[in-house]
Amino acid sequence: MKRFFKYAFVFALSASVFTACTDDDDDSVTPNGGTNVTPNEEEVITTLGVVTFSNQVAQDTFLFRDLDGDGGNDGVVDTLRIPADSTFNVQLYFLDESDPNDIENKTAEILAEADEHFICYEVQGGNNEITVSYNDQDANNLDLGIDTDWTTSSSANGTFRITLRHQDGGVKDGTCAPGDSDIEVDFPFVLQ
Amino acid sequence: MSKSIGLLIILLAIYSITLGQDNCQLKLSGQVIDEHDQSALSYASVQLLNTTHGVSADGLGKYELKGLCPGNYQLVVAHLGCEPDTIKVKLEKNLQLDLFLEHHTEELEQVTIESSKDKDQGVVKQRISQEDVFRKSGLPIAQMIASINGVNTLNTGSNISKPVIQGFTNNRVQILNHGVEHQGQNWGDEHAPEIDPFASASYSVIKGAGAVRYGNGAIGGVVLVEPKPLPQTAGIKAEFNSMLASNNRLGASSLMLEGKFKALPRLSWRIQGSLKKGGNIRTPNYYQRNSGVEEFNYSYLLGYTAENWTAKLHYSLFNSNVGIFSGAHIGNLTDLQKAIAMNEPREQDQEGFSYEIRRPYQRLIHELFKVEFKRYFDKMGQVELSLSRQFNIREEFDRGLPRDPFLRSLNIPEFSLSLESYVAQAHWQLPAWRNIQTSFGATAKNIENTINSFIDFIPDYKNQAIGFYSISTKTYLKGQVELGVRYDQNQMDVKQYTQSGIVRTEQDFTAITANFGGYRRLGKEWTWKANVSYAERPPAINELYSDGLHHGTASLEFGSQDLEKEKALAVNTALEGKWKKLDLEIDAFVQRIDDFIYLSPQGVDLTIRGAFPSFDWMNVDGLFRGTDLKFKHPVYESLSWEGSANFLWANDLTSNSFLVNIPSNRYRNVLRYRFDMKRKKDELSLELNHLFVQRQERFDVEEEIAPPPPAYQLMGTALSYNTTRKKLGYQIALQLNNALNEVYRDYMNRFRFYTDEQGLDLQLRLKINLL
Repeated sequence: MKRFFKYAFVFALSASVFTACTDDDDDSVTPNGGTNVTPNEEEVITTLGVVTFSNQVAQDTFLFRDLDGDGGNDGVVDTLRIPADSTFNVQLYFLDESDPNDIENKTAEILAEADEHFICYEVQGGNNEITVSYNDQDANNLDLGIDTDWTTSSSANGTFRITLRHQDGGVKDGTCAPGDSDIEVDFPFVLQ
Repeated sequence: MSKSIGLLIILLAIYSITLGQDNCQLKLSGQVIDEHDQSALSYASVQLLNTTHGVSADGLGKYELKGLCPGNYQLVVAHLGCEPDTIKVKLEKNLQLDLFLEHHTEELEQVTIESSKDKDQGVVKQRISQEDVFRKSGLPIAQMIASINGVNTLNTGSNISKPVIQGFTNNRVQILNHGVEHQGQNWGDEHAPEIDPFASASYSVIKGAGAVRYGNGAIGGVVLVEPKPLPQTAGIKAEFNSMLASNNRLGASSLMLEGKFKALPRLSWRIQGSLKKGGNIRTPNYYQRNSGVEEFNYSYLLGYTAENWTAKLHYSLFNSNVGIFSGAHIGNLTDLQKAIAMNEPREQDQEGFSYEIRRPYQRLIHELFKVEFKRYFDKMGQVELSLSRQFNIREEFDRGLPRDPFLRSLNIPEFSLSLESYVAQAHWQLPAWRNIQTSFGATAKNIENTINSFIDFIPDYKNQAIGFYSISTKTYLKGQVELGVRYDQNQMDVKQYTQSGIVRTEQDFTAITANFGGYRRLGKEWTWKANVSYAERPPAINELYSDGLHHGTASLEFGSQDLEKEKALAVNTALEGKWKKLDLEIDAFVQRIDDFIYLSPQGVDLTIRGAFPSFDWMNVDGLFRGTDLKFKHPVYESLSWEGSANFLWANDLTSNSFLVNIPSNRYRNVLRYRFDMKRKKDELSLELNHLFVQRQERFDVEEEIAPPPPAYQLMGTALSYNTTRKKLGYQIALQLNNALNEVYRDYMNRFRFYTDEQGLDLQLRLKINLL
């Protein structure tokens, strides 16, 4: 009996030591080696660019930029001054400019995971002064929205919301409803 | 000089008078015995009232009082878990007197208030009955604790629950697990205590700020989670617990073995392990996608009892994965508003039944290791020393994987924290002197928190603290008074990674806690308890440093390093007793907190992810008042009626508004019928229960994300059967919760914006004791 107890005790003690060690190992699984994690390395998008084209020549670029991320200063948004009564091509790009010495283009990552993303365009409380048709599709032939054509009505102004929906786990269905918003920018617009 | 000479003469005179009484040589001795099972009660305190004579009985319950004069005495004998007893003794010669005490812990139908029966006499303390412990087995620990009248839970879905005492939670409620402050990421609303409820047997709550012994800052209250005593007789005992629930097809079971080997009579041991697995929660109209839970825990306890010392070693490991309902994960304010506007979750967030836990989920590991040593001295009282180490790992996986292909392949948590803490405690209980029992204690702790993820909602920090306290209790014929004071010093050493490099900040806080309270018996049937306490709570890490987006609530939260500590003044009182056939318990409290640390709304911040409501931690003045009522009435023969009602008011005095997340008024009623059984030890009962929760009407529109949900009522029923066959004890209960499949949402659930609560649930519980 004594011997049984002795083994039981040793087993129990080693079990605790063992689990403690596992915990330590878990701690060190960090993307860049633990302690030198800085908030700036968090995956962020600071900048949304909207570029209008005419006959494949870039015309204007409108930006939303929030270089210091959440909190701090509010983001700065350009007004979309675009031609009325016309149809033209628009391309979006996404940047991480949080480190001025290392500006990263995030557009390729979104394109690579096109089947998990969907970009929605919507005039807020208006009468569809801007309508959007999609030129790019994912592998399942569902719209993506980085490359679009915009058709505008006669002169008007209002707010145009561009939303990047993250629709992972097979929920993407070509509408805005599934998933959640990674980016949501309200651009004031003036059709002139 | 002349004064001290005078004093000396008086002292000498007293001394000579005492010496002069030659016949004061009498001896009173005997054993303290449990009235129910005739077992010896070790270390009971035996005191002669209004004299300096008092001792603690030894490990076998033996006591001896020497040098007594003949005369009439009143002897008070007290033991943990027992009603103190007063016995009149006429001493003419040496006397051998065995003292029988009524021990309560095993009794099933006890009324919950036990404060007058154990060591925390100066505060309002309530314990969960063993029957309620069994009835809540398999549920999160906070939901078990909530069976105490006046204790609520703050929930995040159905699997994450935190205890709410008198309207306080998080940093203001402390959990003492096996005698050690539970150290986890207690600051977060969705950070439930990482404790296996199957590993313990006794759950009690100290209401209010007066618990001086258990650390500072717990101005809401303290939850005590304690194991049952180790076995004192040789042989092996076993306990098997099992619970099955229909709603989320949950299964939980626990096995405990304990005993003592004949060859090693001084050593007691216990090992215990539990498993739990549940799938998606079903509301009356849909399943909540990804709301499963799984748990794997084990623990062991070793105890060694020597002549005048005991040693204990305890280890426990808690492992859990908790799915977060996918419909509650939102991107920004627009998503949140859309979710609130919808009556039910999107189709994609309602799915059939599944046990699978996917992103978003939480992964939790908690480990506790503790050694404890107690020494009993003849003339110096008893000393307790303990040292413990805790690891806490919290990993939160977001809904979506990162876009970056490399990060994506790692599949790491978006938010990950590890906490390592060491706590050393010393407690010295002096021998009683003139009916006064005094103890001194000290605590030292070292807590280190490390962030292992990109998201650093709070920074890395190291917290070092020391505390000292003293508690004195004076026993009277009809009651006790207690005075406790405590001083704590706290150093917070913070390391922040910013764009301009690492910033180190050091902040020091001190805190004073004081409590004066006690109880008094009024007549034969009534006891009145009251305490006045003053407590200070230094700001916690999240209040000082939180910075960024809080997922789930889609809000930005910012700490402030300029926060003042909280200063709370509270009065708690409780009246319990019997009026004719009616058992009554009435608690009431008022607490005013200067510089109450509060998350105050600051409007909307615009980011590229959209708009988010923004909150700042601020000092305001708060006022909390509440009352909890409970009664029990034997209506007719075997039928009894139990009822309770809870009321709570909490105000922000600075902006003259109501505070958020305060439970609304609620009323419970239980009708219970006990069947007559042929065998005396068998018990069969049927109960019907009803809960009515009022809508929280005490709110301000500006403070709330959405108005509180409407009132609701729940019906339930339970059939329970207890029996013993041969050497086995059985407890079986079949319980139906939300029997009418009511569609409702609760204000105290953070997922009230996204989903209805759990629907009908049939629970089957079985407990087998190998005696």
